[in-house]
Amino acid sequence: MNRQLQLDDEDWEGRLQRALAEMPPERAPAGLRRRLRDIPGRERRTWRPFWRQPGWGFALALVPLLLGGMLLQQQREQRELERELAQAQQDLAIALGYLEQVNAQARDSVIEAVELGVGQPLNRTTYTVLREHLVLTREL
Amino acid sequence: MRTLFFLLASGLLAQPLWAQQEPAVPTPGQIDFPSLNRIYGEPRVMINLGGPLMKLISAASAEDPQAAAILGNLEGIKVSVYDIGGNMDPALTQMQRAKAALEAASWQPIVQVREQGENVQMFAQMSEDSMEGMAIMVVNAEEAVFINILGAIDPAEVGKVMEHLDVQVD
Repeated sequence: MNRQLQLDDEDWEGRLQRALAEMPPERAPAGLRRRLRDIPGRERRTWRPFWRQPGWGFALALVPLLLGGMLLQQQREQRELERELAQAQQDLAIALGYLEQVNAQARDSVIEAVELGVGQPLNRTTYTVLREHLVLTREL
Repeated sequence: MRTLFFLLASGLLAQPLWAQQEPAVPTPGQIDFPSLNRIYGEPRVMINLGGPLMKLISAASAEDPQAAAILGNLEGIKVSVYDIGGNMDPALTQMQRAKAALEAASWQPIVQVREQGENVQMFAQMSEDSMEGMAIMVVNAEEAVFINILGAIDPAEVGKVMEHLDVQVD
């Protein structure tokens, strides 16, 4: 029963194909043919500004992104530079602090040495004067 | 104006990238103090401010012309401070070596203090009409301090610069 049905299906399909092949070609109406021919031309003539072309649109969309990225990068570099500057200023202050300490020590030593150098002759003179005075007193 | 300053400063900081390609030439006023890391460990304070950073600090001090002028004469500062914990001998030995090297290179002694528990050496390298560098070494029972200044500075002006920098240092 099933085999009979399959044979009938194949038979019908074959018949249909043959019938379609035997049909004479039928020309479409002239108006329809003309309109169909005009379709590619109409598509070509459709004008779009360049920024509405898919490629350009994508490129233009990238511009603000690039500008934003550059701005962020510049701000990041600026912050980094400010941080380096603050660190350098602090380092310089520490270095100068040590220099000032050494300078103060050296100044104290120099003053001490000068005082000693000036003081010794003064003491010697005072001693001499006093001694001479004493001698004079004795003579009197 | 601010953007211009940072662009200029970026250029100054980028300078060493090109400078590194050139062979190293000894800078007048520069002295490489011997390292004491092997004896005392890492220095407690280690500062190395080169020319580009000094120019950056100087440029940032434009609102105080006096400080900017003083800083403009500085080309670099190196500071090393070691905690020596009473062990002065190795530091004094290195100081004597550095002193001999400075004298051999015609640096002029400015101040030399040798007291009990304190040794200070200050040298300057002079060109015809200006100071090119300063070397300062201090060794006492607590610490050994080595300072090298490139460029010219009057010690009396240090306070003005510190006042301008307005950084609290303990």
